[in-house]
Amino acid sequence: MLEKILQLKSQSMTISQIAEECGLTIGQVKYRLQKGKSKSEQESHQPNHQLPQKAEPDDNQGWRLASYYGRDIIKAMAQGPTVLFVYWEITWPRMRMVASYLQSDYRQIQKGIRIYDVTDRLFDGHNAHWHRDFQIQEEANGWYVNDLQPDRTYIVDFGLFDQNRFCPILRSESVVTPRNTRAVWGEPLIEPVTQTSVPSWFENFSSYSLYTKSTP
Amino acid sequence: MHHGYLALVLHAHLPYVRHGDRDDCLEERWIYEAMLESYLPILLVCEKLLEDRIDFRLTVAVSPTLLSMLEDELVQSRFRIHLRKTVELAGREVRRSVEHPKEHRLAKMYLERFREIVTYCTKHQYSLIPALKKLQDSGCVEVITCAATHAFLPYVETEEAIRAQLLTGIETHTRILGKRPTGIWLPECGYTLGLDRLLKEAGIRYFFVDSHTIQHATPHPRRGLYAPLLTPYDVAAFARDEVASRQVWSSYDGYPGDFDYREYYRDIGFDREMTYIEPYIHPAGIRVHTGLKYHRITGKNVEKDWYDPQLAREKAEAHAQHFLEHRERQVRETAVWMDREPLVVATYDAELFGHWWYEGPQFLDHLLRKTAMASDEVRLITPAAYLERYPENDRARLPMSSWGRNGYGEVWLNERNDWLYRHLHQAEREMVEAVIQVHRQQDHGEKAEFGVRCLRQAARELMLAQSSDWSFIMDGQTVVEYAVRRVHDHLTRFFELIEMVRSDQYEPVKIQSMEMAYPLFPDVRERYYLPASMHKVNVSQQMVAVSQAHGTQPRILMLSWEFPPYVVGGLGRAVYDLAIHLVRLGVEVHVLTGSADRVAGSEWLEGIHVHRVNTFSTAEQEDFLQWVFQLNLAIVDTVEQMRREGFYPDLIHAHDWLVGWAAVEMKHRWNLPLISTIHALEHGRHQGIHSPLQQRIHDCERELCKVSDRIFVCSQYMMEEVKRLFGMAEEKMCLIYNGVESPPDLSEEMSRHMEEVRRELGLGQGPMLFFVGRLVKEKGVHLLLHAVSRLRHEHPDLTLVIAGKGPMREELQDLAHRYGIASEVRFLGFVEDERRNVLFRLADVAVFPSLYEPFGIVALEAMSFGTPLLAADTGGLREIVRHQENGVTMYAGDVDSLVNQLRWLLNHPEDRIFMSKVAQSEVQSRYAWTHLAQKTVEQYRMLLPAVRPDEEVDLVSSKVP
Repeated sequence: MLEKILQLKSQSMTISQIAEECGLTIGQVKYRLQKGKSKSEQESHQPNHQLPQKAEPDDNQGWRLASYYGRDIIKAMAQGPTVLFVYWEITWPRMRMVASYLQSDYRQIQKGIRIYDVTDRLFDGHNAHWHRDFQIQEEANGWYVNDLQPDRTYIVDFGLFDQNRFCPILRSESVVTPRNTRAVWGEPLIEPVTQTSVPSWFENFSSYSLYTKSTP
Repeated sequence: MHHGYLALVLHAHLPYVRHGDRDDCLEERWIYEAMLESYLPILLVCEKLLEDRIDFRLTVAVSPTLLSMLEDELVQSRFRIHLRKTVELAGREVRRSVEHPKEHRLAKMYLERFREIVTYCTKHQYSLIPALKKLQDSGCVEVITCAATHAFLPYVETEEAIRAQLLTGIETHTRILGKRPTGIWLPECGYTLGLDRLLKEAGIRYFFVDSHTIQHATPHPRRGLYAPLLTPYDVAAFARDEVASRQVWSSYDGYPGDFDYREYYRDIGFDREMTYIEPYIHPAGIRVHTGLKYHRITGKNVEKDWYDPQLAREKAEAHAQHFLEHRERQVRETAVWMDREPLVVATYDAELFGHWWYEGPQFLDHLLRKTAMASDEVRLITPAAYLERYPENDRARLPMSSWGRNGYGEVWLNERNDWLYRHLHQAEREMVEAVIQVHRQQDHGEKAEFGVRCLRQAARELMLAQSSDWSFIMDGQTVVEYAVRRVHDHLTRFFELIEMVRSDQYEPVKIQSMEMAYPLFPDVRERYYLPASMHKVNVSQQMVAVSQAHGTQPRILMLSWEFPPYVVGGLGRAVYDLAIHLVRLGVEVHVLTGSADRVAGSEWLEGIHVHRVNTFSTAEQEDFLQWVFQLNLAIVDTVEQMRREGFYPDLIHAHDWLVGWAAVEMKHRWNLPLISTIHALEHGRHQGIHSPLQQRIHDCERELCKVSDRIFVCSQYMMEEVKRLFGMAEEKMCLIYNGVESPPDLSEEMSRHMEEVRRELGLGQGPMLFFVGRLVKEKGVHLLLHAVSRLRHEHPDLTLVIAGKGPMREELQDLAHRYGIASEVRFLGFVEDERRNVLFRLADVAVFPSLYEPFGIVALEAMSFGTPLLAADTGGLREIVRHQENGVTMYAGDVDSLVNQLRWLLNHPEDRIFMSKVAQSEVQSRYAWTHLAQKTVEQYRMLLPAVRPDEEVDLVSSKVP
């Protein structure tokens, strides 16, 4: 059954289409794919697994949380003044698009994340103070970025290295690392804000946004 | 003399550990142990103080999960059993130890103590709530709240989920204690940027942070830790005092480690033989703490000595005195430099007092008594009262922080627990989406009721999964299995509930069993998860209107890389005009396009929904192909998000290869019909394919044509090209011209405007030639410059106006210099529509000497203004312009031909004006947008599945006024 699912998947079918084709539920298809994936991971030894070992429970019996949610996301969280935790999920359809753009097998493409220091900048992709790249293993889905500066604003891209050029395919929201020293003399005083309906400046959490914002 | 204040704050919290289905859960003992050893003793201390008429002040934060358990009848009845067994065990201990006076004395101490508590509990029917209320009403104890399930708020992903935690907490508190809290204990003192806005919105006036949060605030606070600091939204942050904390907390030199105090880890539950202790421990024979402990700490690595209550009591009193003296010195020293009476805030976990530190309640008793009665330097106060006394405070921004290890988030986010967040964040987003979905449905039937019940239970499950306790346990590696199981089970149930809502298929039995398993927060409201913007009526009305309209009218996704006001060539204009006329026919059109310099987002533009999407970098900075791909990714992401919010398109209409990846992907992903309009082809633009990039684009065009269900072309010429280059079948293609709007009649104001422009550009009385378009080779502008240079002797007063930008601009300007006609030629760069229209009216001849022109919308525009026209006989232009009938044509790429035709036109003003009138009336009949849009809708309809026949009329002929 797994063979058939993989075959259908390679034909650009969605999970729900595969489920219909095989007479399975969507959950069953996902489960089989996950099992297949973890099996192939075991088989292909990764001596250089750069990710720290997780305390995530093993694939024990009765484990029913999904490994993938089918939503493209990259999220950066400040663990402290100098460390960010980044996690991501890249969905198959997105990989399929990327593969079509790069005209190669997605699995063969070197993936990476790029962190940008965008403090006090309206970031346009090229005006960061600096950026740093990390190469990522195929099956990694999270990363700790160390040795950052406190009280700076960061954005992280997930992307691909195509002929040594970084090609971003997913961008995180910005996150601020906390300041861990006394403020220097001369920082401007802060005026009170009365309007609470919209953030008046940077916030470290996101608001669910509806795509229709303006009215005629 | 009175110098300052002390605010004592206790934070009481336990995760929700009620297990209704079984009474042997080890973790459920946490609540019974805490009640017996901490909560009841602290309550008793406070009541005794009130009885003795001591005017003390104490602030107590009680978490909503704890409050919910305290009011729960099952928890109360199980506590009764727990207490009864403990009394029974103490009784047996008394009898057992008759022979050993030291032990006997201690056993009797416990028995008396427990009997006292039984008496108290019997009086209150085992509910601690009335006692808490009584303290609150006395005015001596201020009870504040906490986030609903003690979630570590900096790691909650969305504003909506934070709001739900805050509001559920506040509502639960208000319902149970009858008074709305004004302060909050942020779980783990976890603060992050922007949280103050939501606190303010929820009506919270103050909260607590760790001392480094205030020390590292910006700007640096003048009063340091001894006064609250206002956040930008005017919520007060109180810093917990470092020294006061350390004296009580420190495992190294804190009071609780004193050798005379009771040893926590020597418990008879572990010491007695199994047959004796069996009835009082876990049914499976797992030894537990019984609360009966006979030894004092004694020292490090020494034999434990017997506990001496008298000695310990004296120590607690001495420590209280020591603590107070330190506070007195602190405020005395601070008052010297401060402009007001300083405040020291001492905050502790309530469970420390009694449970971990057995003598803690005695310490508290002595401290409160001594401070209230005997200290003339320090007074007790609540934070709320201090704020009333000093409402004016400095304002600053606070950094993200907590009171955990190293001061930030590492306890709740590290290798042991980071896996939680992808699940929790996903759950938050799905919660918000499901609430929006149900909120939009207008029906109120039985199903809607189930929907709301599902959402409310989902909210409970999500909040329970969010408790910081689980990540804390994983970090500390204590009862990891339990914590993992709890998160897993809550989230699993959550996703099941959401699936029911999404599919509108409810399983009442299942819902009910989940409600019974976790019966907390009975009044939780799913609406807390509704985005704030949804509360604004007009926005949701618009969406409801849109949804309701759907069902009768097709919903089209129109993909175009350019769209007004960002227009490079004719494509953006053509898409805009088509969209407007489709909207007038009642079609719902969503245009997806790049944001260019504008802010990404959605707007309503003359009835068109325009969604501008962001790319990761701008087109100028990136290599073009990569930028195009990013645009395609962003388009797909936006539509994906639209679908999540319940907007399902019926058909995709793509314009040119630049949106090809998105179009092909969306067709596959959602099985939608795809129509592509091919406006131009790479092969034609370059008269062949010469480079790898051109080959790449050529391939993209081929792929788009191949996948499309239908291909629109705008000229017979393009039809032939597509057929020839990609081998497309003619049945799959459809010729739909681009249209033009008829310009308004010439008004006086416009005439004035024309004169202004004429003066501004320094146009003399001689004839004016006009070109508008991108400055690229294929437009043939270089030919035009050459021709003008050859005609200038015959027509010395001739001027040429060139509007538009492009890569060849500089080269063309150089060329004009070399021809010696720089003073006759005006390069205007990009011009706005209005100005362009004026130029059309001013021109004596509009010249389009293109080498390649798939359609030639500019020619139609010239015709619509009645401007005499000269065009190359190439591509679409050939189909529009008929030589010597509605304009004149030249051989494409032939300068001599261009010179000849120009000369003829300049020398025959009457003929050229006659032809322009013919052209003008032809445009109005043949290229009218209304007609072309109707033809487009007919094509849409052929691809749309199962449109009911009675609606066909609506699709094509009905017009929205």
